[in-house]
Amino acid sequence: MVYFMQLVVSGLALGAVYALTAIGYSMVYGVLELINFAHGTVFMVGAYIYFMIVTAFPQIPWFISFILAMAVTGLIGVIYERLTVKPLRSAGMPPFAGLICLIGVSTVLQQLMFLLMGSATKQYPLFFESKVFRIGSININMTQIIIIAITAVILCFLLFFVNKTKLGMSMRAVAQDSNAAELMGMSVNFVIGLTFFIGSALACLSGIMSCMNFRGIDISVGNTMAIKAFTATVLGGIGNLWGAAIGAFIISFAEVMTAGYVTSNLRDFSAFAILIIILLIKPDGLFSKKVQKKV
Amino acid sequence: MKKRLLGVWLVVSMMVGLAACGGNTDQTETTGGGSTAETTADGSESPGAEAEPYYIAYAAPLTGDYANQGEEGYSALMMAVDAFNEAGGYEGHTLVVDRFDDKNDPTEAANIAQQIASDEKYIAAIGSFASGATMAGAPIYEGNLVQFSPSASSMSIPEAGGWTWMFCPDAGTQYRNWTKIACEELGAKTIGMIVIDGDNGEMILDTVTEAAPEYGAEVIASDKFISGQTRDFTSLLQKVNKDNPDVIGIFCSYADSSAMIMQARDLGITTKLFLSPDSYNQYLIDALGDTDTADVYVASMITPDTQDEKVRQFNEDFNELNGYYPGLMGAGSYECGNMIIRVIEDGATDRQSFHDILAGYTSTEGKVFNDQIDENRKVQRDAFYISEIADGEYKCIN
Repeated sequence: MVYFMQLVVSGLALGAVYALTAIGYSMVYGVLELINFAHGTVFMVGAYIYFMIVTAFPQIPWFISFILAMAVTGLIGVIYERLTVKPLRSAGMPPFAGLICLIGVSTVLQQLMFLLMGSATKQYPLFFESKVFRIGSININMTQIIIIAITAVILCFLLFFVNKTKLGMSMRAVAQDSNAAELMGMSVNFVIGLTFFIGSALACLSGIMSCMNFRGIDISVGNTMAIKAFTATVLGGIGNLWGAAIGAFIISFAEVMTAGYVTSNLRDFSAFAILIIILLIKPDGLFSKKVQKKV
Repeated sequence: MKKRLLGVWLVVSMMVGLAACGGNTDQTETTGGGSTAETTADGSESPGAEAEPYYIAYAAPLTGDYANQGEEGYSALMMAVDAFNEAGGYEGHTLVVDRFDDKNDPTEAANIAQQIASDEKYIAAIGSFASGATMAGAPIYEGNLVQFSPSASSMSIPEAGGWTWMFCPDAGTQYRNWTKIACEELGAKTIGMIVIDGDNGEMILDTVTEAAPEYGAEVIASDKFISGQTRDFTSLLQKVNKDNPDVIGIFCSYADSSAMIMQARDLGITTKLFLSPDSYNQYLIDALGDTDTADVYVASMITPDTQDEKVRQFNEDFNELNGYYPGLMGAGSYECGNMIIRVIEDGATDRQSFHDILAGYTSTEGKVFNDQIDENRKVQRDAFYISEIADGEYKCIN
């Protein structure tokens, strides 16, 4: 039982990281119906931006470094959206054109970071003392507590933002029908830019949390994260933030329990097997809502 | 018109993206060459050239996760090449090294091997870093060009190509020595093992499991993982540590092993961790940063902290040039370079004579190691060290 609970703690921390990334994916898809293939790379870039800020300016308080890193990464998201996705959207190009562009963006960003930071793995700085707490017979470390806590706070804030604020309502309106939203006086371009900003900032936060949890960073940290987060998004129902979060925890627990009770090299197998089974039963994902679209 | 322009922009951005991936077989640099036979940028010889240089191809990961290993090997190789060239070379012939980036990928390595083997100017090739890439090139080099492998250790390499020489003890030798050290120096009676999924990992598991009883120990837990699949090793560590082994052996590169060490300590796992020689390099120490490294040990086949004068001198020379001590790739590449020089000085003038002279050697007579060479073109070396990490340095304890 102790062993099981220890794995549960690992699953919660891992799921929290997946959830933050998956929500970013889900938001962009919800608004644009576009899978953002650059999201995993932005995850890595955001983690490196925080690393650079903390390394160059260690005197800056941690929460300021967080905010700065998220803001800069959010801006990067807006910039590549404006430079690549928006022109294609404005010209009425088919969705795959945007997909291909984002693959190119991902490659360019990754190579830029390689030139800037090199390939060596570096220890990732913590803004707190790494301690291990004992609850009964279960060990839980400070990193896991902080990741779970921050993710919970951010999730609650996002849900409030999307459901209870005007900007959030604009995002939902654009996601439902961008033409109608524009006719109602909403700036669709602004909303899309905001979505990319928020999505990229979330990827940054997720990258920081992930690298703190795994204690290292290099340019490949975002590679598998992108696939896992996308899987979580699909599992939960694309466009549904709650669904993305729950999908993330399903994926993380599947991985952790497989690694803990079977073997670590089958962790991905179990996660994707669950995805396939659920999609066979519910093809739109666990929490998708059928929205009628006029033809 | 607008759509057409946007279409062009789309194609351009794709091409920029593809170009940013970098070339995989482009020569990145040609270096070496003394004043008597320096190759200029356009490939012609400078005025006053007296003898054609000998060309060596160096194929290793120069980008990607293992770029640091490739650069380390290159730097060490150039120590040997520069010393040779500065001394005037041999009968006016100097050495020139062409670099190729195989990204530690077998497909890339095979493409590069094809390119190198078909270019008559090369008298020998050095590469790659890991066994997969080395074995991908071996059949292409066979019968054509001698390939030196500085650090690959798979026991299947001799079968992959009859013109490949291994300058690193094979994995079977290494991991028998690892087991011996784990038991005799760390007092292990029970061992947990973490290996990379694949043939090499299976071989390590089998070797240690078979060797452990000779030293009064047994392997009580093990698990495999796919490198690059995840950075979360918490479940893996908890599983292997469940029955409290005396020592957990970690057999992977420094990027994964450093994460495992830190995550193990974050989980409150205080078991002794004993890493394989794959992790022994300065990058491990850098990646660990200020982590508490008590009860963390690393195996190696080279260390600066040794009584052996030749090994110590090489370490100090490399450190003076590069600011860190080399690992196996550095030592192996340096020895490969010195072996090439020895074969040239013994009269090799072309690829066939190079092979025939080399095939006659039974020992390396190297500047770092003096190893025996067996009938399978593998070096035999007993030197095996265990170091702890203290004050940002490796401290040999045996």
